[in-house]
Amino acid sequence: MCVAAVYLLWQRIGRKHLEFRPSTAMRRLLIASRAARLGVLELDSMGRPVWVNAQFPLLTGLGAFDPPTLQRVMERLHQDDRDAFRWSFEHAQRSREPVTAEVRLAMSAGEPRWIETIFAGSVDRAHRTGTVVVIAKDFTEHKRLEAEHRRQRQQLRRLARVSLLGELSEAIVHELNQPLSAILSNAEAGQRFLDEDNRNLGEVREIFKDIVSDDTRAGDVIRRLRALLARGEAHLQRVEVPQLVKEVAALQRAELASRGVRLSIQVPESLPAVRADPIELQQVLLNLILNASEAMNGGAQYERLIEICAAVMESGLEVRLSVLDRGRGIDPERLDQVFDPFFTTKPGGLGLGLSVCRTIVLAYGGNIWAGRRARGGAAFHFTIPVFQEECHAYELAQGVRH
Amino acid sequence: MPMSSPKVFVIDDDEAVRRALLRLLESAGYDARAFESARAFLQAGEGDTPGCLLLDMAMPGLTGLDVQHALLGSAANRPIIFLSASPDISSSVCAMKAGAVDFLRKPVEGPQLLATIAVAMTLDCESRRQRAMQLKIRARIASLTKREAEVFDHVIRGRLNKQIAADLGTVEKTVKVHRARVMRKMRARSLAELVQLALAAGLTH
Repeated sequence: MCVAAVYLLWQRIGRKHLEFRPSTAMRRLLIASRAARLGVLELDSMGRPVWVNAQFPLLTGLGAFDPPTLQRVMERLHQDDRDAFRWSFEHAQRSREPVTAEVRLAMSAGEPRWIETIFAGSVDRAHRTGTVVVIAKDFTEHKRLEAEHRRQRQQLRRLARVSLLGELSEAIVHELNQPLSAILSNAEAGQRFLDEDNRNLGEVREIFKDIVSDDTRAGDVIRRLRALLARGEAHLQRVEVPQLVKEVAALQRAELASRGVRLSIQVPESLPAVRADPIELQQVLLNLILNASEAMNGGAQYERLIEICAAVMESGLEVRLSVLDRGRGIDPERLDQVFDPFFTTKPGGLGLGLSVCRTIVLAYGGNIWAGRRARGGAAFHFTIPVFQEECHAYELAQGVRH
Repeated sequence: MPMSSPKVFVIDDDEAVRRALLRLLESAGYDARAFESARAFLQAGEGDTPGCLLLDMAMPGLTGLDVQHALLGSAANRPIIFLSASPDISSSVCAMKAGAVDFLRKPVEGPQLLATIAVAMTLDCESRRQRAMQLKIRARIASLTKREAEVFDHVIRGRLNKQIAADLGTVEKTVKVHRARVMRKMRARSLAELVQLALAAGLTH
């Protein structure tokens, strides 16, 4: 009985607006919306349908006899997205600007269907009440491609990370063998001390202490490796740069030592934290340091020194990190190419390292570039946005008004 | 000059490894000294202390191979045992070609390390004895007069007195006198011994 009444009301409204008096402008809108597969629904201020096109119920899965009220449309949505939908409707009534919301349909199984909705408020002169036009578009394919793209990019980054680990493998073996070596020698010395008639228990106690700390050290190497190898989405968070640089230096120490390369770190502890994924940021630094070290390979004429510097940019919004070497440098005409995918000067190099570095840094809203040093060698710089709270604190410290 | 007691010199940039190696060596009764870098060792002026080097291959600054080259041919040269925490075939080949006693992979087991050190210590002792002998023989050679030295040179090349006399423009009898003096000054009892001494001093080919 009630449903029938609503249906009749809906029929009446529908006839009045759609069938009997379609204006020229509305006809154009209808043609355009059908061609673009857009669902169009106009709601009055109470959320009751004023008119609707044929596409809208198809898009949202409303039944043919279902009146497309705000309430009924909302019921078709995923429950987490209903508030956003209502908020957009209410906001559009007061706003001159269209409001956009991406919402999911409440489907029973499988992948969610995504609908992009645009809410535009307007004032009906006759009724003096604001109506809201809701334009809906199936967004699922776009979302799927976006997710696929993100997944592929993530895989590429991981691939680059795994290949980076391959390059680091010698260093890793070294990093693990050092503490293992110390543990073995300590334990053997301890056994000998205990066999002596004149036992020096104090020394044995010291030995045990060292064994524990060397074991922790080996464990740390494994932990760093596991972190580097971990799959998973990039997670932007607050990252302390000095700490991160130290971690990277610890992973590289042996590799650099075996090449007779010295690493000089000039990173002030007072640096504001940045917003980045710590593992990816490590990856960028590892890549740049590895490249720098390879650039200085086999050149007795170079002082084998890599410098890592960091400073806040003048704006206070970004931190700049630089990796400087004293190798053969980069040809001026190649400065722009080095970040291209598959650009490599190394035999057997994949040419992905720097290209992935750029992808990572750009994703954070930073920038990366290469240069030549006045007295020979290459300079790689990149910027990373400061973590937001830090940004405010910095501005306050500088006396900047909000 | 009093001879200092033999030492094992441990050169490794890793403090934990250094400490553990020192303990192991001391537990085996060796006198050991550790250095954190090649430079520190080279500057320590342990030039004439007998012993051997336990040298880490990969160090920042001067690497193990650099140290080996710096010491080659110098008076401070001693048997070198390389230690390396990473597999690097090319540098191990370089090290062995340049006369390293051994190239051990970390982590190295105590018995193997101590046995290698014992070999290195024996080698050092032997080479020092030879060097001392060489110095002695050279001093004897230096005591020869010009004429005696000429006769010595001919004798060790197996020439007869008659031939030497002809070459030096003198008579056989004079050569015999010089030859007797050479034998006395060189403290050689036979021609065979004289040739041996010349060999030990590195004079003949």
